[in-house]
Amino acid sequence: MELAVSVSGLRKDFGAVKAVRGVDLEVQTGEVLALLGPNGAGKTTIVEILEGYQTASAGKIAVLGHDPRHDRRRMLERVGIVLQETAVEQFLTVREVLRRRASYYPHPRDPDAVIDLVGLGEKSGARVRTLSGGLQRRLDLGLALIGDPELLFLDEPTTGFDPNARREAWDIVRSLTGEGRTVLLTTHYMDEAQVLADRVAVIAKGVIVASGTPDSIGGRDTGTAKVRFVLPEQAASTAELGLADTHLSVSPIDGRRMIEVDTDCPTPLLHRLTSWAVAHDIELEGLEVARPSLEDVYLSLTAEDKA
Amino acid sequence: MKSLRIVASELWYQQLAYWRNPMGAFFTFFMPVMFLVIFASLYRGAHYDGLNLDQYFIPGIMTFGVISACYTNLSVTLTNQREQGILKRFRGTPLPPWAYMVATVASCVIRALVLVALTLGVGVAFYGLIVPAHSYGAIAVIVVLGAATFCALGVAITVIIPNADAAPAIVNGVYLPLMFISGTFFPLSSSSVLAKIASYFPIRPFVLASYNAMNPQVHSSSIHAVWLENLAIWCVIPLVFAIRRFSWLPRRRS
Repeated sequence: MELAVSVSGLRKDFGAVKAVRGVDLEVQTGEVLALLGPNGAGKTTIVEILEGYQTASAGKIAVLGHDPRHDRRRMLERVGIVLQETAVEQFLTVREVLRRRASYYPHPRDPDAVIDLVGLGEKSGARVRTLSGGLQRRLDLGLALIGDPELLFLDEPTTGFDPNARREAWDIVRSLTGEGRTVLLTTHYMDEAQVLADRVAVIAKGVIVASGTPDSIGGRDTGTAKVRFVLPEQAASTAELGLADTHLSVSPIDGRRMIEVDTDCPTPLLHRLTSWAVAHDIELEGLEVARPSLEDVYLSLTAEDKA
Repeated sequence: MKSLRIVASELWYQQLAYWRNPMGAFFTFFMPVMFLVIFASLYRGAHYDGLNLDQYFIPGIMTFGVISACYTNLSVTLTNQREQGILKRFRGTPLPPWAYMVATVASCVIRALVLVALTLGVGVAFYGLIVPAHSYGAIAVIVVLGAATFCALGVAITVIIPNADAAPAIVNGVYLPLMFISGTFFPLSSSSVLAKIASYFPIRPFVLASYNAMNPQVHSSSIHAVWLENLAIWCVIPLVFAIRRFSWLPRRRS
């Protein structure tokens, strides 16, 4: 499949500060890729280099086949950009700002259709200054879409939103991705990456430390699982439960003992455990099997980098 | 043709946004007219150069209007738009940057022309200002050159303004003292030290050229070439500086 974005050996120095230290990144056409990382990790710098706002210190970059340094105008006709902060002419109406923006593009979408798409139908005649922050953000998305872009850049699209507004914004972003459009978004929210992205690249201190689908990144699907349960009173020891050779920890809970077992092969372990419980007609309280959450993976990946 | 259409469309939306901001529009037009009325009542019955003093300071108020609309308005607006990220967003679209700038400057020039008509109109209607018919051409040349010069200065000064809060202080700090020592609102002997200093800057030549253009006693050929040269130099140098150094991105680094 054709690549929407292809980056290799990308570096960016601000004086002595190395903000981006050698990044390789590929985004497939039609894919939603999330650049996930803490503040200051270099996400925005990378995206702004792709958008042509900043120039790289080194590296090869192709955005829809264009080099953003030398071919920026043609690239801008084919991409939509949502910056971190909303900034729209306050005294124009929703329809006016969309019509104005539409006039910049060779093949714009119908402004009224875009207004409906981002759910501003009732506000099309309202001046921008009368819109709430959430509605202005919708307008922002509408402005990025008006040129019918093949590639959409979303830089922290929901930072500062309350939970309801975030969910609404996610719904809009998801409705945009169905049309074969490629999306590159940055975020420092794990749940946002999980909900929106086909693929996640975790970035810390200017390098990509892991990438993969939200469900498999950092070995989430194959890595060590935790099995937890409350040790039943009928059990004399953990050895009796078939856990003799396992790596387990015990913590007190309400005068009883919570057992936590780390295992690479949870299936046979669970089989031994539940066979014993069934044989003794005991319900295992608090039984759960947990893979590391995206957050666990993210924290361990970004913590290693800090060390 | 396509470029012209883009500029015209941008100009339309900028004018729309401007006139819908009642406070901004009100003060741009109210201030010079208020100054005109105040000075006219202060100077009632005063004479200068064998003429009613109104004949001197009303052309001065006209230059003040052009400078407010071009230099002050443009620099503060561009700085605010830069720091709010509005300029950055325009640079993220295929709109050519020059088209945005041309439309923005044209917006200010339109305001300047309205102010010229307003101040001269009020002067003629209420204060006995004489605008001789043979001076129309000269006034047009001077206003166009003055507007060009102060637009160029307005764009150029944004380069040294670090943030939106500093904009009014820097913009006014540079030009208010200069306006007073240039004899904009009252006559100032050309032999005085302040007037000599002021003659190196663009406001005094603009004021004197405007006064002489409208002076019914002299012919407009009394507009000295050195004044127009001064304005032209103060137009070209800031323009080159602005083209090389103008920033579309906010100064604050996140």
